[in-house]
Parts: sequence; C-alpha cells; structure tokens
Amino acid sequence: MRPAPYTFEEPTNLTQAFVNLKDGMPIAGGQNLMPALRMRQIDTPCLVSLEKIESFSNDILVAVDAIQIGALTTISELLNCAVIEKELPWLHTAASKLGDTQVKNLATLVGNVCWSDPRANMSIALLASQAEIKVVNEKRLERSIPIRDFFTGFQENCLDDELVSSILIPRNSGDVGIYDEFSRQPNDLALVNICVVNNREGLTAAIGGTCTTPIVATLEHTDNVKNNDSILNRIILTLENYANQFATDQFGSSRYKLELVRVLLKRALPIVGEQL
Amino acid sequence: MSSHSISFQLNGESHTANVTPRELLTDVLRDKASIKSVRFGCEEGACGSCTIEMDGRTVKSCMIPAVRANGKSISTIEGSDLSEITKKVQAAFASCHALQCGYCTSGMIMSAANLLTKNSGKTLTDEEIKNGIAGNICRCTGYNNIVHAIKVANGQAEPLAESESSLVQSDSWIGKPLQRREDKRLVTGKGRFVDNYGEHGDLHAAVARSTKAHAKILNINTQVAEKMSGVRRVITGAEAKKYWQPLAPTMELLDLKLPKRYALAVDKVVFYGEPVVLVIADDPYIAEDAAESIKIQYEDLPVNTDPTAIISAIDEPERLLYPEWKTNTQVEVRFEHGEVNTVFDSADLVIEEKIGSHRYSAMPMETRVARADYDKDEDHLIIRASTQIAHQMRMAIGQVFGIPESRIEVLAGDVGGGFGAKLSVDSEYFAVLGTMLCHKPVRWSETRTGWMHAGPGARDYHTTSRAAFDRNGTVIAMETDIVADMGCDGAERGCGIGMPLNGGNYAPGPYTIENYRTNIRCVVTNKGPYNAYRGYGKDLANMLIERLLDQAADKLEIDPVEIRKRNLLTKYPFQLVTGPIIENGTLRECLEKLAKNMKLPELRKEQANALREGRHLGLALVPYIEPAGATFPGSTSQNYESITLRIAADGSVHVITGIQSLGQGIETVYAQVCADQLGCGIEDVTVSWGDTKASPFGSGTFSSRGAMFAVGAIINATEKLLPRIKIGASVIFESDPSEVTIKNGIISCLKSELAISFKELAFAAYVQPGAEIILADADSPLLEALGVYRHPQVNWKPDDLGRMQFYPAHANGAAGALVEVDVETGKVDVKKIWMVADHGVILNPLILQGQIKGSIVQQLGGTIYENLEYDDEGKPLANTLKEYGMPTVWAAPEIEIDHLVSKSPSTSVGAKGAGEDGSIATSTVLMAAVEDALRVHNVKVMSCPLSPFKVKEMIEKAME
Repeated sequence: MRPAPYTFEEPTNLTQAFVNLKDGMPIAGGQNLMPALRMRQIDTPCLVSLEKIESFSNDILVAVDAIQIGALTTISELLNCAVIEKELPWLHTAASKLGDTQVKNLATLVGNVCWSDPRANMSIALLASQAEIKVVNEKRLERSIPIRDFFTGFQENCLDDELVSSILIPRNSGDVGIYDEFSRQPNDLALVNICVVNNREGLTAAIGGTCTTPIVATLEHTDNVKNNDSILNRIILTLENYANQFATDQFGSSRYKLELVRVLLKRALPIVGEQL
Repeated sequence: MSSHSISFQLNGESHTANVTPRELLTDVLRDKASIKSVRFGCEEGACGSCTIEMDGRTVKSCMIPAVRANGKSISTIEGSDLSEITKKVQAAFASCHALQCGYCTSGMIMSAANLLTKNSGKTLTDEEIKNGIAGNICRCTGYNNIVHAIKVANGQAEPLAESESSLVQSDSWIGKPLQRREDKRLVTGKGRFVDNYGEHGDLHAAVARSTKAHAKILNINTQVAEKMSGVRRVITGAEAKKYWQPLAPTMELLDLKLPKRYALAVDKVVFYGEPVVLVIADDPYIAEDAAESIKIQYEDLPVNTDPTAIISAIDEPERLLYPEWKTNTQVEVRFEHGEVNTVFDSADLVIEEKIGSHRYSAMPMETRVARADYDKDEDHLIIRASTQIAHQMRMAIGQVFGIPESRIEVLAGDVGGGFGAKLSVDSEYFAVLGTMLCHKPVRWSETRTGWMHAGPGARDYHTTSRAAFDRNGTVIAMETDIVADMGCDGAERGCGIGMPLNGGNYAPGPYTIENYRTNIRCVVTNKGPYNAYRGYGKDLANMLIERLLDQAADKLEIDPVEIRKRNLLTKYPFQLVTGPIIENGTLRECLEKLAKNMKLPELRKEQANALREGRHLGLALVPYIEPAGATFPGSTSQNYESITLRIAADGSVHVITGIQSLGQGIETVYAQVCADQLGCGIEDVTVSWGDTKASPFGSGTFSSRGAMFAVGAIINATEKLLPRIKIGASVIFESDPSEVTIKNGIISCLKSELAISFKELAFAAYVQPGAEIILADADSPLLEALGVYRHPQVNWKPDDLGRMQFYPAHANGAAGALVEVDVETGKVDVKKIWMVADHGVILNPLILQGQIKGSIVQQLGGTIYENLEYDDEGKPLANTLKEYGMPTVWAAPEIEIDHLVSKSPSTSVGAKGAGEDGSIATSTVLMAAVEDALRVHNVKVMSCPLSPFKVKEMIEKAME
C-alpha cells in the first residue's frame, strides 16, 4: 500500500514551520509515521519536514547537570554517545532494543516520544530518567514539560500547536537504572517494557504496554532498594490504579501483561540494588 | 499535486527525478532509476527487502518519501562502485548457500556489508551479526547460512560450497556441494522477479476489499473513483461476471463441494478482505486512491469463525457460507479398518487428547504479483506471474476467460518463495481482466496486508485423537477425528483441502497399527482462503501419532525412544493401514543415530542440573516420514513430469522444464544430473523453466517432486539421445557404437583413442557432414528429445478397501530438539534442533541441507511466533508482518543435520523427494520438548502456538 496524497514542505525556520503545520503533520525520521501513512491509517494534507529547520539539530550537548538531545538526533547517534552509554546505560539499552539498524538510522528520540505509543522504548526510559521535554510554539515561546505530564492518551500527548525542540535528561552521578522489555523476538514490538531508575530522592519506575499511556510509579526514599518485595508491590499497586485502562490483545491478556511486568521488575530490582 | 524536482547521487552518479511528495523512494528507484534490486515485501518497514545505503547508513527505502532523498547519496547493490567488502559479502552468500529465492538477498547483503564496513577488521560475535541483519527477513534459508556467510566475508569461517571450476575432474557431479548457478544474478540484484518486467505506460490494478466477514452487498458507489483523473476502469463483481467464469478449482476430487465463487464478490462477501471492486489506473497510487474511495453498503450476516460449530441448515441457513451446499462442510472423508472398537474396549491403556494447530501462512517474501498483456488483434495473452505452476495457471486462465490455451503464454522467472502458497490462481485474474478491458499491460502486486487478509492460510487443525496400547507400549488401535478450517474455501482459491486428508491418511505413521479409524471434516468459515503449505498435512499426521506415543510412554514409564522402536515398522516395503506403501528407508537407524548425535545421556544430565537452578530445559526426539511427489486424481497434481533436452549445433545442452524455480536450486541440480547422465561438461548445460511456450507440459513445483520427477525426465531424455550420440560418434570413429564412451564433455573411442567434443559431434550432426551421414542408423536425426517420467509407485486404482497410492516416495528421518522454557513468562527458547534425514541418494548436499534448515525455521516460526488470528467478527488480527510474528534471524536456533542414505528404487539416480523435513517434524518435536521442559509441572502440550502467552496459560492451567 502507498500513502494518500499530501504536499511536502521543508521549512528552514520555525515561523515558516508553524505556518505549514496549520494544515499538516511534522515528520522527523518518519519511522512510525510512514507505516501509518502507507497503510492509510492516518492521512494528512501536508507533511512538514523538520530536517532543515535551522534551530533544530541532532546535537547531543553534555552539560554538567544534564544532557540535551536535539530534535533531530537519531537513535543511532544516541547509541554512539559515550556519555550516555556510561552514565545512562538504561537509556542506551532502550535505544539498542528499539527497532533494527535501518530504523535506528532514521528514527529520532524526539519522534519516538512524540508518537506517544505507550510501549515506546525511549518514552519509558526517559520517564524513569525524569526527563524534561522542551517545546516551542509559533511565537517562539518555549516551555519545559516534565515528561510524566506529557502523555495524555493512546498515541496522544499534551503538545498544543508546539514542536519539541529538545529533550533534557538530568545527569546525576550515582543514579542507577535498568531498562528491560518483553518481546517475542529482539528488535520486535515490546509487549511490555519497564525502566527503573534509583537516585537520591527515590526510585522511579516507568511501565509501558499495560495501559493506554505509560505509567510512572515514584517511590520516595527507598533507603534499601534490596527489599525488593515491598518495592515491587508498591509499584504494582500504583499500576493497578489504572486497571480501567488495561488492555487485552492477541499477544496477551491484561492479566498476563501485568504478570510480565511483575517478572521484569522482580528481575530488575536486585540488579538496580546491586549497582547502588 | 505539485511535483518536486530532486537530485541525488545514485551509485556514484548524479540522478534527477520529478516526484510527487507521496512517492516512495523504493518506487522512484525502481520505476524512475531502473534500480530493481530494491523490492517491496511489506508496508511497515519490517522486511528490509528495500534496504539501501543513504549517506553511508542503511535505511529502508520504502519508509522514505522520495522527495526527502534530495541531495542525498544513495548506494544499491547494482552500483559499479561497490566496495570490496560488499563484493566479498556477495561472494560469500553464494559460496555459503545463504540465499534461496533471492528476493530478500539484495537488502540482506546491503545490511551485512554495512555491518562489516562499520566494524572493519573486527571479529564479530553471532549476536553482533544478528543485530546487524535483524531488520531483514528471509523466509527461505532459516538464516544460519546467512550468519555463516557474513563470517566468511569477514574472514572468520570457511565457505560451504565448492565451485564448478574447482571440481572439473569430478567423476560425478551428483552428490557434490556445488555452488548454485542461480546466485550469480541473485546476489547482484538481477533476479528476474515479475515486477522487474514492468514498463512505462503499464496500468496498475488495486481492489476495494470487504470490511465484513459475512454480509450481503446492498450497494456499491464507485462515483468518486470513476471521476478520478488517471482511473481507467472501475469494475464491480456483478459487472465482471460478463467477462469471466468462476474461479478455476485446483481440485475437484471425492465429493467435495465447490463454492463456484468469482474472483470479485458478486452479491455477498464471505471473508474480511474479499475483493469486491477492481480498479485499473495509471499508477498504483491512483489505483489505491480510487479503491479507497469506493463505498460499499452491506447487510450483516452471522459470522462463523469456529469450524467445530454445528450449524443446522434448516434453523440457521444464514450461517451457511454457501446455502446451496446445505452445510458448511466442504468435504468429509471416513476410513476404517480392523477391529477398532473392540480393541479400544479391551486395551490396557487408552490415550485420548485434543491435538491441533492454529492458522498460519506460508508468507513468502514476494506476495502474489502478475503482469498481463493482452494483444487484442492477435488474440494473444502473455502473463508474467509469481507462480509455482505456470502450465496450470495457463489452464485456469483459459478456463476462466474462455481463451484457447494455445493463445496464452505464462512466464515465471524467479519466484520470491512459494512453499505451496502459489499453487492456485486467484488474484492474478485481476491483471488479466484489466488488460482485456483496457488493452494495455496491467500490473497487479498484492500488498502484504492483502496477503494477511485474503492470502492463503494453512494448518488450523482441530482434532480428537485416541490410541489404544497394550502394557508393553504397543499401539494396537488408533482413531483420529479431524476438523480443519478451510476458511472461505480450500479448493478454488487454494488447494489446502488435501492437508487434513493427508493428516488422517498418514496419522498411523511408520508404525504397525492395524486397527484404525479416521473421520476428516473440512469445514468452511468466514476466514481467508486455505492453501497448501510445505508439509501439507504430513505435519498433522506426525503430530497426532507422535504426541499420543509420548503420552503413552509417560503413562507406561517407557523411554520415549524405546516406545517408538517397539512400534516402528520392521520391514520394507511397508504398507500403512490406510494404503500408502513406504518403499524403503532407515527409520530405526535415523532415530538411533539421532539419539547418538544428541548425546542424550549428557543432555539429560544437563537438564537435571539446570532444573536444580530453576531452569527448565526440555528435549525430545521424533521420527518422521516425508511422503513426496503427490499425485491426485481430479486435480492439477499429475503423476508425470517432462523436460525437453536439446543439444545445439555448438554442443551446448539445454534442459527446459515445467518445474518452477522458487529458490530450490533446480538450475544447479538439474545441470549436475544432466552432465552426469549425458556425459557433457556441466559448463555446457543451461537449465531453463517458467515458460509455457518453450517447455513441454509440466505439473510444476510442489510436494518435493523435482528430485524424482524432473530427474527421471532428464534421465529419460538422455536415454533417447545417448544412442544417437554414440551412433554419430561411431561413424566418425569408424568403430562400433558400443565402443563409444562419453564423459565430462569428451566423446571417445575405447579402441582407437580417438576423441571428439560435444561441439564437434553436434556440428557433424547438424551441418557437416550432416545427420543423413552420421545419424543414418539412429532412431531420429534430431539431437533433441522429450523426456517424460511417470512414477511407478503411484496407483489410482482403489483396492478392496478403497485404498490408493497417491504419494510414490517416502523419505524419512528423525528430529530432535532442546528448548528452554521460562516458566514465569512462558517464553520458549529453542536452543538447538538436530535432524538425521534420509532422502535416498543426495544430489547436492549443500542445497539439501539448505532446504532442511529453511523448513525447520519456517515451521518453528509457525509453531511459536506466527499467527493468523481472527476476532469474533471475523476480522483478522494480524495486518502486518510484525503483528503476524514473522521470524527474524533471532528466531533461528543452532541446527545440526546428518544423513543416512537408502537409495530410492524410483529412478536410476536414487534420490527421493526432499525439502519438507522441518515442516513435518518441527512442530511435533517442539511441542514434545516444551512438554518435557514442563514435566515437573505436569503440563500437557497438545496444541500450538507455543507463544509466551499460550505457554503461560498452559502452565497456569496445569498448576491450578
């Protein structure tokens, strides 16, 4: 199948981009968008490429307290960043498990988040990392959205005629974390995925695949993360608050997916504990 | 729509093109830059057949609007500036038999070469290699040889094949692991696939499909479509009836009922995705726009997706797909022999289980594709198609359109995988109707989603199976009650109907079971069609008997290998209670050799140690038979094959066959056989196929028949030509024909030491001095012959019990598996598969092993990952390869293959059919191994899929 007709714009500045976007959809790497367009699941009068916008880049800027990842940074570029591999290995793992080489070469971190699939690897890893989404609107006003406020529904987010300009990931020495997913085959769609990050303030667990949006559980002052049972139960309790959103599909019942989450967490928590 | 002028570097040269924004880079490369190595295999960027390098990175060109390639640098495998690494990868793919049909190969090589370039000089782990090619799906090879080839290209391993030039002094070409001739074009992106033959100005077909699984068509509104610019023709099923007849059945045997449906639905639809309206337009984009704009109004009818549901024709006629049948049963077959009831009543042990399998599909990387070109003035139709059966397609098209077959040419070059799914004619009719109405060539390429919804499904068996045992574990009676889900039909759009029939017929297996009853019902439901798939019900037969034997072994505390030895046939030939005759074989020996190869005692120890650590390993062994060379009365599967053998005036030899190349290596193997049999040089032999005008009538490729039927036909033709060659040479040598020997292209005289080449002999026969001198005493002056082979072990005359022999040959073997099951998630990790196989004399061990490996991974995919599931409304749940669960390189386990040889009595060469081993035994052995892994939890594994979710359910159910 092939896409329905659309026009194509390639603005070089944000002002022009927002004019084009009045009647169109942004495309960065397009690795989620193109399948949907080809299968005619979505339709848009205009595709607006973000590639040439001057203020958008694929830079990964490492500052003292945070790493800023550009709007156009691809998953492959992210994987090549030594600081991320060293300090945010859970983010690195999530990126390495996202799609295959060809997809990684085009897919962007920002695009993966903006598509807002509840199982998106990068969303889950960024949620646990307590990342901030930097967005800009047509008046060039910027705001910063904590990623846990970003997702509003299945493939829906809180962007309001805005574009994501970068993503800021806090860089706290001493953070430990792990990303894991359950999929039928590696590089496949994850049935569920989890990311757990422990830092001075406590433990953040992000869980994808059980609900229409990713779920975040924050546990403050987990003095001894090795007491896994209680931590696990507290995370699951948080998750169960969203029971009305649980979904069953051909790959498993909601109960099964919850069980998978429990298993992944049970296996992840001792590893997080050991790294402390 | 505005068009954009783009320019890009393509294989080192600048290229410009005018493109509309929605045009995919794959289309632009194929149609505007003549780059045919990039191919479509899906809509979702999963298959990787379109992989190219863009600015040094591999990307999937079908996921990129061409307009975004502006200013980029693109490399494909056609490049004249290919890197040394890419050339090494190409050579290694050929020398490791890392490709079969070749459809995915260009993309796979691009990924492999990119991986090696990025890691230049570094030794790569299996894990790293798999990571590098996980975005490229291969359906044929089972991936192991691909991983090996990448290692060879990286200097980490040795090639598996030998080249023709390295083997010149060979006594016999048969038995040599000769590198395939096919690969030269396939590794360079020059495969001759249907869609490569499109021309500028071709029209394109698309269809509007049903969005209901069962409904009356009330109204069709095509107004918007008809007015679209670029749309040539919009035709509904009701209108198309004027131009064509119902679908031509592939089988019309027993008392099976035919739906007599048309290729486009007329007044009601019977499955989701059924074609309803055909659109012919100037390009595929417009054709799809038009198809999408068509509005169809339906009145719902009750949907049935359960083949075991009992439906009363009187009370619920609307639940019947075809009310005129008065039932949803397409065919029902019963067979009984012996004292079944009595033996069951008095048996020491009776095992009864519900054994079955879900629905999945052959899923070749190339979907169904056709290009039809009708010349009205000449009343001549040429159709190029991706098919296994060129001649039968000609027959079907002639029948459906009323065109004399003499005016139809079917051409099939390279076919991107078939596996049984291209044994019928269905959507190919769209291209024919299109060209007949529009008088221009029309192309039809099925989308992957189209295949998911309306393509051929397979398996989908539901059985209750019983066996009676004495206390020693001897099977004394067996009963199988089989229901198979035909979807909308198993004999017109497909020919799957024989699968469950084979299942019931072969269920007693190679065991001495005298009392047997089977009842097989093929039932239609509101699902997509049902077609043949590699294994063709022999998988079901194996599953039924072997699963029951394992249960009995468990109950009677007999070792699983031992219980089989106690029941296996003891002498050959052996006639199954249902009629088939196993001519010879090594069933017992294969099983023993397998146990030895697996080092069973060590594995059992490893299993026990693992269990102490909480890890669940499971292992299993099953024997199997591989009936081959199917022939059925009332079907297009006939008991003969033919070839034309020609020696031209320059001494070159041409074998032309109706067997179709689908990647199984016939171009190489038939040349090996011909060179051996005729004594010509192998380099002088050309094998061609897929041309109904050039080759004699052939039955096509199915049921592993080539190694017997085509080889037999080649032998038959050489037997006709050899006396002529000897007579001709004897005239030249002034000796007696009995003193002429022929070998490796040299025709020599035993007595005088005179020798001539084939070229000299042929020239003497054709021109100087001419046939009237040198072939005056021969039966014919022509150095061409028709070779025909008819298998002697086929018998269509029923005996007193109504039994016949449809399958003339039976390869055999034994399969073993080691798995690990994660009991917490239900995930099955297949660690290793072993196989010991006996296919008679091996023609080319490299190709044979390639077939076995490929069939193992295909069936492993079906057993664990793949699923054509439907919801209660009959809507397919799988729309894409990812949702379907297509196995990637990660799914491929380690595989170890060994052989025994019992020469087939059927041809002088002695080969039996091959290529379905894995398809037959893999599900069974995996089910048994998973059960073994979960023995501590008392889990019974009687059905697949063995998806994590289902396995977890089995575990939970057992632990309740």
